[in-house]
Amino acid sequence: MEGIIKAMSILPKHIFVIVPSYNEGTVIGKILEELVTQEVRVVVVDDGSADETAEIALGYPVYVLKHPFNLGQGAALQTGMTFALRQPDCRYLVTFDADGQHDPQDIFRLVDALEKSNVEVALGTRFGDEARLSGIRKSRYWVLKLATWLTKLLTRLEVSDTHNGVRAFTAPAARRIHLTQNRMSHASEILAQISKLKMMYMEVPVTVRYTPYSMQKGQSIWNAIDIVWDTLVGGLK
Amino acid sequence: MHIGQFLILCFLFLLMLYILRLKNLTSIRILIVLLLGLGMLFVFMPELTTKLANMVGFGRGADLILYLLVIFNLYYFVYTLGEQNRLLKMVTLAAREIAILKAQAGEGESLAEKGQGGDDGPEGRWYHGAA
Repeated sequence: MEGIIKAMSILPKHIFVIVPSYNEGTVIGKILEELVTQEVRVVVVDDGSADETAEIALGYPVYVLKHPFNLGQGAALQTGMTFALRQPDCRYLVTFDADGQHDPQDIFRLVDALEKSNVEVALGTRFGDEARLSGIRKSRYWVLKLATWLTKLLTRLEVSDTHNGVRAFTAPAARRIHLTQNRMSHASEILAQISKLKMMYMEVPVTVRYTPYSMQKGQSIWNAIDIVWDTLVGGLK
Repeated sequence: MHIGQFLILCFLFLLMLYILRLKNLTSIRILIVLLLGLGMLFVFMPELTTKLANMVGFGRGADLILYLLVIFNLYYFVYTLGEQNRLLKMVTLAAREIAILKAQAGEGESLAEKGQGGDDGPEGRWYHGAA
């Protein structure tokens, strides 16, 4: 019986975790240490880092893709997704930030949600009822709320946290997504495409661990302005 | 014709020659050539600008030229922005393929199989010394 259940469930190695990273040399080791103990395959996309991010990643059993120069987090995510989708056994893709703010266990919560509820995309949210926040600064909270409100306005999706780095896609859904916004606006772009392609999606509460490091790397009010600009002007062909 | 007019005329003419020598006349280049031609015409007949300006309701010929310049600049700005976007997309696609091909050429597919939980050496890790 157990064997049947196991055979029916998805082999965990079919989960590809994509970790875009840019100058994360000081923390990438720690997060990979956590990730490689999980039954997932990890794809680190080094976005042309000037530090030893890629070299550190090469010391772990993970795929390492290196952009020849810095292109932006959106481009890094798309590179990881393109690579993962070319692997024959890729069933699920999970995006995961390199700065150590996510909990690896959340990968399985998201993939579980995909398996159980027949949705194509599961989005992590830190503002759900069950979501746990630790150490968030007030200003950060309002920047995120503002970004969420703007994105909701532009994409008409009912989401509570538009700029969360943990998302899970089924492979067929990921295949239909094409990120063209290289910079931070990819978060809004993913949502815009989910909306346009009428994908089934759900939000899953996840943990976000705010550390001084992730706070410093995270989004400021200037990013929010950049994102609005990219969203409005970036579409010019 | 005084010396100022002559210099402007030479400058416009050389610019036109240069642009005409470029291959692949895109819409923007055709527009530039037309505008340069118009500029040369205006050098010969400065009073024409005033006539034209009066026709469209501007007071002076110089105003008309200024407004045309503003319109052209804005058009050029939008055009350049679009072109820059297009190039960035192409560069991104090329960089993406380089990243993927390099990873596959390194230790490629076998890496993942060898990797997690494998018993390959004391470290149990792949992708050492790929470069």
